[in-house]
Amino acid sequence: MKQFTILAFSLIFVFSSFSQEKFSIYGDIQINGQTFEEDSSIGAEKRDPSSQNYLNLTLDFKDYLRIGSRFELHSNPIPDLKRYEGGGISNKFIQFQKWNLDITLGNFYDQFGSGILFRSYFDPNLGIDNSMYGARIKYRPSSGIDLIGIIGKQRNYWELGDGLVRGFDAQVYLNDYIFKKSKTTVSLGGSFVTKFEEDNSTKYILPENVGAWSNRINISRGRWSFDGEYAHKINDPNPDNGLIYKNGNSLILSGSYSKKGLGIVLSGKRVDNMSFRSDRNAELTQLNINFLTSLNKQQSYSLATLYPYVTQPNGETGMQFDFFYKIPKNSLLGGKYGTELNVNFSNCYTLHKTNPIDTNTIGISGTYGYESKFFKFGDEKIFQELNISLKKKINKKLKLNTTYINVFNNDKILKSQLTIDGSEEKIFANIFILETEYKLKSRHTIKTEIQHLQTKQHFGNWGMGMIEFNLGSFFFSAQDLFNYGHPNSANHYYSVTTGLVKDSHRIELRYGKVRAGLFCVGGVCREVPASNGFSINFTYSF
Amino acid sequence: MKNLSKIIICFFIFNTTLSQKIPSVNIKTFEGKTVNTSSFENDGNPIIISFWALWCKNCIKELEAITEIYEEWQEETNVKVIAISIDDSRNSSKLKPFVNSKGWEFELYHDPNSDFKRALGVNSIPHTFLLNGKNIIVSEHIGYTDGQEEELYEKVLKLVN
Repeated sequence: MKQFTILAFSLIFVFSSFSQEKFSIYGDIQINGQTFEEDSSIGAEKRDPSSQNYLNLTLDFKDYLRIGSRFELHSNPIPDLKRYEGGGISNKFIQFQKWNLDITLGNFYDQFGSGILFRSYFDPNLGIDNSMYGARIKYRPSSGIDLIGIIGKQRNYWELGDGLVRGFDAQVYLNDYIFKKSKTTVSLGGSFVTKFEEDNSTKYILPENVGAWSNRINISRGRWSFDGEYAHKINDPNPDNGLIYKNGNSLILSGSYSKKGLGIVLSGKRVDNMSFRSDRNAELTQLNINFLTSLNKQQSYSLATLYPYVTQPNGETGMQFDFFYKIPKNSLLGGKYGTELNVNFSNCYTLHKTNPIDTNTIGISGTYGYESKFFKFGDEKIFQELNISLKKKINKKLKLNTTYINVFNNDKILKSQLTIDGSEEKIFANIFILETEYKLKSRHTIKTEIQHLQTKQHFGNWGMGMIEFNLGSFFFSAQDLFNYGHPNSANHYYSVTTGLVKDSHRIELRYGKVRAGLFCVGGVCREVPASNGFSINFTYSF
Repeated sequence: MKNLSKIIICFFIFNTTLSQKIPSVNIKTFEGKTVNTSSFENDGNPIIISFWALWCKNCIKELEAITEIYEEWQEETNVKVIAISIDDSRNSSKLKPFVNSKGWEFELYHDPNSDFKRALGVNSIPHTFLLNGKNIIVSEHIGYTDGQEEELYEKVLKLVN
């Protein structure tokens, strides 16, 4: 630790003494700490204080050489992230960029297309860092053509996964070659990714090389836009899919129309047996090579995140519709400033499955598992959500935001909720949200949120009230989230938060209770234990 | 922990002395074309780079507030706003319809795997940078509260006068 500090400082002093034209230093610091008191009313256990800290430093020399590293220090992380315990340099790279070449050695993050076959990324909130450790070469032979080759192993907490991942991606922006003057733009892409992993099974003969390919297209013309991506993966028996020998595939299609004041998007997807990890025995968010997008709205209101969707890599088929509309100014509904309307609808079903050719039962390990008709939905609905929100500026000082959400969450399949007696159920809920923001003067606002979730299932009704003061750089908020429909007990999860934001520094102090549940970003989730205590977060970028 | 706090204190002191060019990173247009951030230019006039996402309410508020007065800003100072979405692929196809429906006239890009965000040391959004005519970062701020765009514009005015 000490050596690292000295090293970091000497580097910064040496480099900052050079001319700024030649050197740049970028970085950021994140410090998070939390205490845990016992609170039997919400099921919170007493734990040792935990902290997660990150320091990123990148030195850039004349735009063609870049050296970077990340230092991490974790002490007493929560149970789900226990394997991060410890400190050290978790990420280091050297990157060279010149003559249309871009070579990276060490850790790198990248994504092919939507990530359907390959995405390495870092999300400290989710506890995900599946960065590749190896080599990447990017080459741009001419404008509009981008080639990427990668090889390496993935970060698995403080170690590397066993599997070797290799990949190649090509993308062409056709308008740089043909249809140069056309209003229609076309971009095409394709990837090939393999993982190599030894067969250590005594029971089955497992493929040591699992290959997968994908191709994608984007066509845009004026107000219209179309995206499509298809991926295919060869058989990869693993605990996720119940050790079946079926091939996997996935398709995402999306079309949109938009003009000033109006936007419409319609998307559909199908995922069939697409769990792809560099260690076939890895679990949860560990060692994923690919990233399967979830097609539903990314929620930010607290009650709207109570019953989140969790991506089903083994199989799902669904659609999403989005409608953005600005009701014009000075119309009956638009008022003086216009009103914004957003409607979002999404649903998701299981796959339609029939017996495989080699047996007459579905999903037996060591067989082809099942057969599935591509355009047929399964019998069970997994998830459905309707969001309607209206945003309106009443006058120069007051803004209103109202949202109605109707959600169906099939916990029999998603199995993502805490249950009282262990029986999962189908949850139907209605959520109402009213947010107001009042401007006192420049940079001084008062914000309130009232939320209500009504359901007859699971833990019953919830209410939420929040008030937030923003006074220049200072902010303060108080909220209470309360579960008053719970069959066993009524619980209040109150919290107060205060902090300062100045330029690129932000510090936040919080005291309160947190409910046990899932924290999700885009269908990728991690479990959060119930807690009662203080937390401190500090971030700074430079 | 002790050492980390030392680092922080020192950075508070030294941070004013550091200023840098934006790093060169590949990002995408909404049509899927790859663009390198080193090609950002505005004829020697200031540039504002704002990181946003569809799920970030404060980011959208900031960009909406700028939209209302953008024409005026451009007439007076020729400043250009570049808005970079860090939404991941789940929201890619919504970006164009969303910004069109809002009528945003900014230069718009997508940073789907947060490469540019990471290279600039951005932790949380909204995070907004102001560059001078030579693409050197002269100031940055995180978060947004109503009226903060006026402070940003004062800094732009200082750069051009």
